Amino acid sequence: MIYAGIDAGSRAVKIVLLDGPSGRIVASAIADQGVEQAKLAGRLYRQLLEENGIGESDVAGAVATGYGRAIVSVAGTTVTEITCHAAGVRRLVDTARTVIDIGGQDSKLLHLDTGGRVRDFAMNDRCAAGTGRFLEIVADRLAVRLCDLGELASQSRRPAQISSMCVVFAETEIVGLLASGAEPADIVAGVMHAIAGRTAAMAGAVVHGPVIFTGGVALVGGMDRALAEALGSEVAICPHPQITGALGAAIMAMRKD
Amino acid sequence: MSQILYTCPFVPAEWIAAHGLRPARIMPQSTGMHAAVAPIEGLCPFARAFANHVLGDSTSCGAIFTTACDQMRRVRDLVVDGTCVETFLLNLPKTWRNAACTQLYIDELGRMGRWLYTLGGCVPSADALAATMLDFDGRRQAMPDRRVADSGGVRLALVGGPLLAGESGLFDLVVRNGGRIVFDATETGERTLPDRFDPALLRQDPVGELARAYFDSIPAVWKRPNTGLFDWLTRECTERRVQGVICRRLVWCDLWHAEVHRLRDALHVPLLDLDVSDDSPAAGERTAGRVQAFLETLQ
Amino acid sequence: MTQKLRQITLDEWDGRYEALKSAGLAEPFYGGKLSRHAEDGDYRLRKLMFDDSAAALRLWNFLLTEEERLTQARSEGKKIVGVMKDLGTTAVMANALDNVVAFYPDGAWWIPCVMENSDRLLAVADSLGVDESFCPVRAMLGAFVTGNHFPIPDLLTCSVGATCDDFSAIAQRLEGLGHTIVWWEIPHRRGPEQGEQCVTLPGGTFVAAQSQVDFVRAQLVLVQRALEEVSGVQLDDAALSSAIARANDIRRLLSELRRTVFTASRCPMPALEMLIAEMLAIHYCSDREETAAVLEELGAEVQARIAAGVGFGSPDAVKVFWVNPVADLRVMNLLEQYGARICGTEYMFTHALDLLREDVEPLEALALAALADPMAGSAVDRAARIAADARTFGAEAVIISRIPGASHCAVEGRIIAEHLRKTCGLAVLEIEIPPLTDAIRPAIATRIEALVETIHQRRQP
Repeated sequence: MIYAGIDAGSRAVKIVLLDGPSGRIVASAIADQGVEQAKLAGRLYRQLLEENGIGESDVAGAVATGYGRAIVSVAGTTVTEITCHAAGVRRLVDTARTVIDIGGQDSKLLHLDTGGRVRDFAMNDRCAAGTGRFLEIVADRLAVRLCDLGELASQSRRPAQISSMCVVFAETEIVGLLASGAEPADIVAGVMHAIAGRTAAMAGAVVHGPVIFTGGVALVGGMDRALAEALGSEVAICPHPQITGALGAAIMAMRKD
Repeated sequence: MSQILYTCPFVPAEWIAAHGLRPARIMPQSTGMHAAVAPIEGLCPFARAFANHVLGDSTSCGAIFTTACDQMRRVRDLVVDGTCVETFLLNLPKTWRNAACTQLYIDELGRMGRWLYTLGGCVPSADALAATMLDFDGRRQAMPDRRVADSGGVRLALVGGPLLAGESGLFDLVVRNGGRIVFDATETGERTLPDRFDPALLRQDPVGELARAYFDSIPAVWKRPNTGLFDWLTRECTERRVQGVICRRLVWCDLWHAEVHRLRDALHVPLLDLDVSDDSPAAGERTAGRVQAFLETLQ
Repeated sequence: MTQKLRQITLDEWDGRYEALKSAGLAEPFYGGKLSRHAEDGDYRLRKLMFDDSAAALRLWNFLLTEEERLTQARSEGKKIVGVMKDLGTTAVMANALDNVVAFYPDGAWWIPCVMENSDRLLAVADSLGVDESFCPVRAMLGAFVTGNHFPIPDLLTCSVGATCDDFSAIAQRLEGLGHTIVWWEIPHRRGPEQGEQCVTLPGGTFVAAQSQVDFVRAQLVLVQRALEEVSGVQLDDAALSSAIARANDIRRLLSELRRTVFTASRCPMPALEMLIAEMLAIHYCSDREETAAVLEELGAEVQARIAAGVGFGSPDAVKVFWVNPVADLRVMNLLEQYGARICGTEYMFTHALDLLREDVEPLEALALAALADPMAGSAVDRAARIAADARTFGAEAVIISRIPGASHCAVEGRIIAEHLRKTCGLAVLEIEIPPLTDAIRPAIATRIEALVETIHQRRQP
């Protein structure tokens, strides 16, 4: 039997199809989020099934997660992204004790027990300066592609200090830094440190390792190092970081069946 | 190791010195993202900077926080468990026109004295305390008076809370743009100098005189009511022929923020509301632009 | 019994009201349909889910008619006293005088929520330079300026000292607008030092030095004198003792209601109504006798539900302890909606819920209560009280709702959270609640839902 997990995030829709008996990922897909989120998720879901020769009736259960989870009509149940990211990461890294997910709109830090259950979590509160959105802004300002930010940051010799808590003011700071002749590499590295610092502030007093970094921002080179520095702990990037939420949702669908 | 850190002007330096310890009033530098106390929305950057200074200090034996503002009172909660430096919270009464509050301040000085003793300080005799107070009083009188020199430029008052270390360039910035600070009414400026000691009262009751010169005399935004501050500012601005006021306040400092409109109404001169989040170069650039524009307007 | 109680909408309340009336519902003078308040501008009611009992109807009607009571009191020649900030001490003193009615101007912080900003109180505060970087209690400034929500008091008192900067600044601004305030000092609570006498404060968690109690007692004498001056009546110990006894009657009722609701196997009263009920402790909504009647009826309703084995949500609802009041009442509905229930609260005024001592001189008793204010001490102190109460009520998780702009919220949340994790092993969620949460409701809901999922995972062996 096939189980589907649909992660309707703020920036992208991610879908994972899981083979029930084996727990193997059969297929996955990612599409940029749009205005008609429900239709987009439905279309992507059907397309993925079709491409893999799977009928809708072959799907024993589907769970939706992410910000848009409530409007994903093809899923019978919703589960929050906290639980799903925990389940997805633990499937891929079975020793994970701390999970950091930095997405386009929010970031979260999950504490797991030795059995992989969520013990506690923290999510950033309406502060875009602690999310991937900040990286998008700096990429836009510097006319650099998102995927090239890591390479650029690696050239930094003296990361800039970005101190504003608000991303709008932080953007003003970036403009000011550019005007004062700061190197783009230093600005990008400064932004990465700022995001990492805000994430570390959510961690609380004790961080158990292994710390696993997931979410789309994990693909931006250098962010893992910035996080490791901020946390004072090693940070490993999760395999398939963009789809861990969807994978977790598929696992939840399987467990509910 | 005999050094005591503090920032609040209501902590009398001579009281610490009379106990045989070295008072060190800190003008902290704002700290980066990865400091022990990270930036938190709502947290005053000065309180955070002082907390991080204390947490990073291994050479002092004590640090004094006060209840002058809720930010400083509460940031101590973040410090107590993370530092080898002993901390003391001085209860500063907010009301001030009754004898009970002056007495509370005196009692708190006594409590501070006992704490200083536990840190290796001594118990000063009344004569020793009086001598120390006179010594400090003399040194304060030797400080230059900004009112005396008159070298031109738009005459400005600088009003507000404490400055961060990296903001000391603000005075030169004003000069470069054609102005001059003739009245520093910030917490790190002359506003918070204690009154001169009365030699007669000093001999009778040195601690009482300390309380009068500090607690009763220093105008503060947090006193309730804070009419004393407004009366003093109005008088001084008039006397010094101030042409404009820079109200420099730290973001999240509610006490100064709430008074900006009242200051504008009370002082009857143009006012620049200058909010500052830290003393980084980026913040300095922003400040420079605003000060330049303000002085262009006044000129 | 598995019968599940259901919260109802405002529209549904109209039908329910007719049914209750047909069944012979007897109402006090301020009774009537709940929807009339929405028609008068309390638009937020249309988005809330309510308990459907007659007791809850009376609670809401009582809450939403305070302005009328104050206006009537003034027309009867009574003096109106606004008791600001101290939450539960000076109101007791004011209510010792027959010709004085006390109210709580800080309560205006809910007006932007209840009226969905239609009265523009926050905009008035903005225009005075008190913007959104301050606590929503800045709405109080707007209410004084517009004069639309309560009669301008004959006397204003405000505690200051170990209080929030934002409130102190707003109150000072109010005085700057010409409203004279009797300020009284509440020092930061500290334990006794060597040689000092130690006093255990009401509630049993906090201690203070006797010298601090003596100091606060002297401060309350200043308030006493001001009350005597405004009322023209001497406020003697007998009157104060009687007022304390009457205050304790209310506190006993509330204490029993809280204990019953928080420890019931199924939740017999929703979090929203419990929040409103607790607020009555501060100043009785200007009518102590009626407050007692409202609480008695709520208590009877809760007992009946427990006896019938009915409650809100499922029997395995996650037990949540809530810290800090919310600026948007609608948020409280999310608990039941996402499978949780209220199981303990600390809305910053536990000292107004603890019994006042009746075995000591009255001003001493009030000073002890004032010093027991959870906000007057350190965050660790407050956390200790929360931990003790959370254990008593069997809470599984804690939600700390941050109040935007409130100076205490910047650092205390993480201290309280760490303390609760360390000492009780509780899951803790911190969320910020602005006066109107509609735009961020999905984000808040996700967090609460995730907290519920987390507790379900924790329950697994």
